[in-house]
Amino acid sequence: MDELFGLRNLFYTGSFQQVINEGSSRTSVSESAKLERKIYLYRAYIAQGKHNIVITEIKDSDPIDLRVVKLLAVFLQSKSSSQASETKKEETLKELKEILGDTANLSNATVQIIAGMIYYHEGLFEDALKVLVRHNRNLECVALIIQIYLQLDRLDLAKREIAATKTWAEDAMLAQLIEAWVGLRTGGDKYQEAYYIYEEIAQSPSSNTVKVLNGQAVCNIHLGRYPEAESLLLEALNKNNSDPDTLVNLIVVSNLIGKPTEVVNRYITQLKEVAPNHVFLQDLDLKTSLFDRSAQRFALA
Amino acid sequence: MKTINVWFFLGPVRGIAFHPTQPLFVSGGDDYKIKVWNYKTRKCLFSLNGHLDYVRTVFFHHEYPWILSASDDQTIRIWNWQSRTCIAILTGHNHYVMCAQFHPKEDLVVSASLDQTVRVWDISGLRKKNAAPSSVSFDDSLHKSAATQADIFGSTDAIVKYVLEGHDRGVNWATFHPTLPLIVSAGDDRQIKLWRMNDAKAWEVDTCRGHFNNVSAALFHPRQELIISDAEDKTIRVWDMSKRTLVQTFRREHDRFWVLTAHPELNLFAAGHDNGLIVFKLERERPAYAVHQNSLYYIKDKYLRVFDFASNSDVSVLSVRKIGGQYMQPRSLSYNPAERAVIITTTADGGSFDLFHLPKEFNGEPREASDGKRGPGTSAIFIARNRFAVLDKARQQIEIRDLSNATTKSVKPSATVNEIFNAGSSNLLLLSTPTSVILYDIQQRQVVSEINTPPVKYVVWSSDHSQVALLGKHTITIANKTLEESCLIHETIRIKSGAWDDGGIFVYSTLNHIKYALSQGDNGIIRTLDQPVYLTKVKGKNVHCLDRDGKTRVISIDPMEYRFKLALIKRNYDEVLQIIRSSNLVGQAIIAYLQKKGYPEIALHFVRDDKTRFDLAVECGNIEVALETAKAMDREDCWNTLGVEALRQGNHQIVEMAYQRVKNFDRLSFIYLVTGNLEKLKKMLKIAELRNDHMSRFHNSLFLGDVEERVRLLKEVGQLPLAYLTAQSYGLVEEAEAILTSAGLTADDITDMPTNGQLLKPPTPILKHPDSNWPLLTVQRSFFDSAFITTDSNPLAAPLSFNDTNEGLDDVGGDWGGDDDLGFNGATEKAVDDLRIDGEALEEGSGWDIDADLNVQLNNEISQELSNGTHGEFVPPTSGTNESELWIHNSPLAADHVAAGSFETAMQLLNRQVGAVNFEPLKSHFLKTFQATRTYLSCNVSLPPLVYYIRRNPEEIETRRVLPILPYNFQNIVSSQLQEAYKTTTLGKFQDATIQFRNILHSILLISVSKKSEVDEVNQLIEVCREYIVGLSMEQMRRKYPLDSPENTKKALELAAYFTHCRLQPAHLQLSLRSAMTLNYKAKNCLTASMFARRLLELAPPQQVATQARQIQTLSDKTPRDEITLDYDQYNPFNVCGISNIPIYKGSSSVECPYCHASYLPEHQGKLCTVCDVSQIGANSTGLKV
Repeated sequence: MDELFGLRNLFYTGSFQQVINEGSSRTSVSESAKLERKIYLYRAYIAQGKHNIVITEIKDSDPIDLRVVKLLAVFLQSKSSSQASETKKEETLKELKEILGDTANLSNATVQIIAGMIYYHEGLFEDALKVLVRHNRNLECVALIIQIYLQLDRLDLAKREIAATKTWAEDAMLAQLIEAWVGLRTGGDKYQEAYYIYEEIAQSPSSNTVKVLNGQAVCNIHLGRYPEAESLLLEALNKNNSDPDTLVNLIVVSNLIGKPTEVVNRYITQLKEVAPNHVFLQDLDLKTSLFDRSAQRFALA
Repeated sequence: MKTINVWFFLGPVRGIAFHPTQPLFVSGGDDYKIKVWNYKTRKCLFSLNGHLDYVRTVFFHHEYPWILSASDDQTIRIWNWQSRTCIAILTGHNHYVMCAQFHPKEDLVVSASLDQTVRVWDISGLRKKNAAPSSVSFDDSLHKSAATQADIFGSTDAIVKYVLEGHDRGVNWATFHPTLPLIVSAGDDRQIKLWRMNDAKAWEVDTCRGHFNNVSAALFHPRQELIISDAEDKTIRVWDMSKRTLVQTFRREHDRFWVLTAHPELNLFAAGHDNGLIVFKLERERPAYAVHQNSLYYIKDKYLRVFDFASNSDVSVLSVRKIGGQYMQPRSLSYNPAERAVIITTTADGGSFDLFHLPKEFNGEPREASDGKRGPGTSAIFIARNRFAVLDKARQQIEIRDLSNATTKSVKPSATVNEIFNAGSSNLLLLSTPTSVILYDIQQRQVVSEINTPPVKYVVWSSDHSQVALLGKHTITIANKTLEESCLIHETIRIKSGAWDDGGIFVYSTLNHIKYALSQGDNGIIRTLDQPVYLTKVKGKNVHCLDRDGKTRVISIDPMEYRFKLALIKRNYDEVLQIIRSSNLVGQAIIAYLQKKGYPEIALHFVRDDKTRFDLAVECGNIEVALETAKAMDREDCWNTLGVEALRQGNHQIVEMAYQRVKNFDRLSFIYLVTGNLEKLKKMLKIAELRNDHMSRFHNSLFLGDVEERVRLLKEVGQLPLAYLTAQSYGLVEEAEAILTSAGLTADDITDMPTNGQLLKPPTPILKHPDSNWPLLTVQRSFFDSAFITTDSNPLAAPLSFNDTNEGLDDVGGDWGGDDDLGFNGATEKAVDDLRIDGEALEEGSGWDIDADLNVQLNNEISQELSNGTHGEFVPPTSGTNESELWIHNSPLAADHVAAGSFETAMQLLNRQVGAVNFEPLKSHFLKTFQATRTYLSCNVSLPPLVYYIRRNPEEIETRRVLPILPYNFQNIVSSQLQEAYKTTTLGKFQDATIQFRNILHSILLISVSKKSEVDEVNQLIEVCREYIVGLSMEQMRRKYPLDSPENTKKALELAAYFTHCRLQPAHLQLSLRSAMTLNYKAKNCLTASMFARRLLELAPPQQVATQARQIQTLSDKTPRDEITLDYDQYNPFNVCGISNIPIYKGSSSVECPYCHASYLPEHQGKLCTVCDVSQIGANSTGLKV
């Protein structure tokens, strides 16, 4: 019996506060699960952006698993803050390299995952994959590998990976989520299947999170069911009015159902406030300047 | 097949038959006698004697008072059991007659004999004779019986019609088919023969072989094409009547079967064997069904049907003939609304399920079920949209499968599971074990909770999934989501089905009742049933159900009682009150219920009987009602009870009254004492005196402290010593002396006088208010008391009234009138008309100066379905490329390139296709298109989201054909943007309208259409926009010319004239013509004005406009000339130059905009088109691709 089954699912569906609550609870679990529970606890803090808690609480004497989690916190903090901490980031990367230099660490799943994540953030997909492929049937590693493949637009590889995973991962929630991620790139019937996966997850009351709502909404958008998508997104917005993904998807769906420009612009402004560095906004800026440059070429003298 | 009951039968009885309507049965046996019994009185009524050997079978006629008997004496006899005589003897068989039966409708008898024949007899003669008037005189009946006797020998009443030969041994049984001209017979040759007959002859149809010993009996299934037989080989066999093949065999170990019969109405059979009899049914009668929202999915006669509770429509959707074999009814049905799929389980082949998808539309002919997925399993249910669970009972394994029937997971439950049920959530299942129901988490493979129950056969969830009813054979357990039991209900009669009412009441059916259960355990009968039904839905007063024939039925019930109880339990007193007021809910049951449940105050309102009312009133402390009823009854015990209760409450006035009524003087006195009511006490004293009640007098005087009275009393009753003592102690010396004297004693005679006496004096009442009560105990007044007191006369709820406010459709537009006042007589002066577009009242705009009824219609001309489609251009696939790059590869449309973010190539395409050079106005459209094409999904925690690309052909997975979604679509443009622009035009906001039309032109550049016909429509739309933009710009320009100088007037008039040549909608064209007409008329250009008037009239304008036009025409024709010569030739077709607004007549040289095709004078070549604001005039182009 997997003691952390519930906790894991809470984490994957983005119920971070609940992960923190449960992770700090005193219910007795086995020794190995205790460490893992701690890892999820700190990772949940990181997901909430509370890097400092993690950085101060994890000591150098803690096991490597926790120390890499701290490393991630340091890294993400340096990334989100201003340019001044560029050196700090370099340091963390260096430290990571040192950790990975130890072969014992290389087969540690937590190390693999955290390394994969840091490299992903840095766009070093090759490095990330190199670490991750060493995993020993760890679903989270698979999830990262798949995201990298998808990011690299290698749907074929992602599909192959998922087929291989299915032989041992059965019906775990994360495995299903991965299937949905790939399905949304595949299209056709897979859209519907992805929707089912998210809907099924959403059925349990604890996992009706912004993240899952977004998943459902995205599936609906791809299926052409815009009004449904919009209502899901508005529900998500009610739960958290500063979730960047919700806002981006709302912009998309508003455009698709022909909402007035003011509405769309309001969401964009909101997005600019909460996540000025969001990929969507970067893309938008890029395209705006691209437009101006290109239009210039055709303009009549 | 199941045995319903077994009992034993002893004695030499061979044949039995019940009368179809009366409480009679007839028996025949080895005593040669036929006996008729009344089974209610359990008495033999009489015997019919005549047979000379064993009687084998006896039967009643369905209509006449006849009994048919077959005997070993080789005869068949017909008896009249009313006259108790034998009316016919059928002779002809030359061996034992084993069986003789009437035809169910016709005047025929069939008999089977050991002489190896089956005979059919015609008894119409007998019937005719007996069809005489019922009032028969004694003589007549005498005569008749004589005649009958004569006929016995003449044999005219009953003649052999056919002799059926074919059996090789003796025939044991023969019977008619209930409706068809068929006979089935069974014989010692181990065969069952099927015979057919017509008016002229009868012949053997076929033989069923299979029994391996003498066949005792055979009969036709009353409703199905089956023959059932039983035999001495210890089997009962079922045969297909048309194919004459063996369908089923039921074997008993030790008992040979001798006789067989079918129930006249129910689907039951009985067979007698060596040790008794068994009653059985051949098949399950419960139709497989499932309810989803407003639809019932059920199987009837091997068709899956859908019944709509709301519309009562009932359609056959799918033929499921192939499931489970011909004779096996499907057992259960599970429906998946998302995929419109069903799973049907049968018990055939040890249990199997079939998964089907339903057709999209439920109309037309039912489809043959195809694409079915099948597998073994005893129970299968959908648990999620794309998952179902299957139980394999033998292996005790639950498999979770996806819709392609692939197993995704399998679970081995810890307990023995008989059946699985839905538990409302995708990862939960209910498992029914022999002793409990388990809520099982499939994901975590663990038991969530368990509830002990007798074996559960069905599970019914309430619509909000908060409660579940677990139905066993004789129990109902109601529990919540997590299987916490809220009640357990036992029934002595078998429970059949159930459904939840919306209010949370469980309505269920037993074999013969519809009942209800509240979740705290109260239950009761709603109504009785003639035959079992399976409830499917409870909706208000209607219970929807399926009967055993699989027909949908609606049974109306009175839900008042259970609603009332539910409201009580939920303390929803308003509703209780409403029910009490609005319904005629009465009866001892409800009163007893209320009393038992502690609601005497409510019960009070149901009761008219004074005694009960009194009891209830006392119970709930309602002293007023108690008093009222006590008065009405005026019974001693009531008054006493009332007195006690009133005393408890401290209501001494009522207590007084109660005591007065029952003449309880002692208590009355006491109450007067304690209330300090001396007046009344004195009265009591007098009363006591009158009553001659010395004791009472004494009390009262004691209470009053009236010593004299006491002394007097004591004297009166001869208690002189006491009187003396009293007088002495109170210092009434004289009186004491007098007593002594009268007694003949002196003071000296009195010795040992008590010395320790104290003066006894009743306290003086300080507060005397006998008229007012004491402070009363507070009696808790329930909601109902006050409700009944205060509002008994008020109507419960005043009907909601609505005030219809008439929207002021009439008062439209205040500031009509404008700059172009007409100069002629007032007859045609302005009148404000309704300006309506699509029924909507519009404010009058500043632009149009004329009033008219307008109706804008364009939709029909242009709108057509726009659907996504694919384009024929193929690009070789590249793997690993970004989807947006695929889009660029896959499409020649600028829109798709924009969506992919490749603005550069998009611009190139537009430049090539329509000569586009000015992209600035397209910027927002580009960005919007780009923005709408990708979603962002956070995948792994703490990683940036992944980008997903939205396709407009979501069903496509071939990368060579995927195309992006486009936010602009043609249909929307036509149905909303264009209409909006027309409306703005009508309102006269020309500048806004121009912007809107131009916006349409820009949007069109970023659409895609799928059909060729739509391409033409797009071109039409471009043309419409162009005409309007050109026309509206001219109109705007005209307004800038003040009509002060001839030059300006000329220019204005010309522009107005050109405007009338733009291809506008008829309504707008009329407006432009009116404008041109009035302008010209005012400028005294009568000729031109008249011409415009004529053109206007040709368009059949509204009445008022027409009148105006005619007036202008008439007036203008008087002075047929123009003041100002215009540069305008109405007969020569022309386009107006978009820049200079000069007409370019046909044939003159011009240049065009490559996109909107607006015409320009040649000198404008190379400039930016002013109409669409995008393309370069006269540029080379290949044409827009959409």
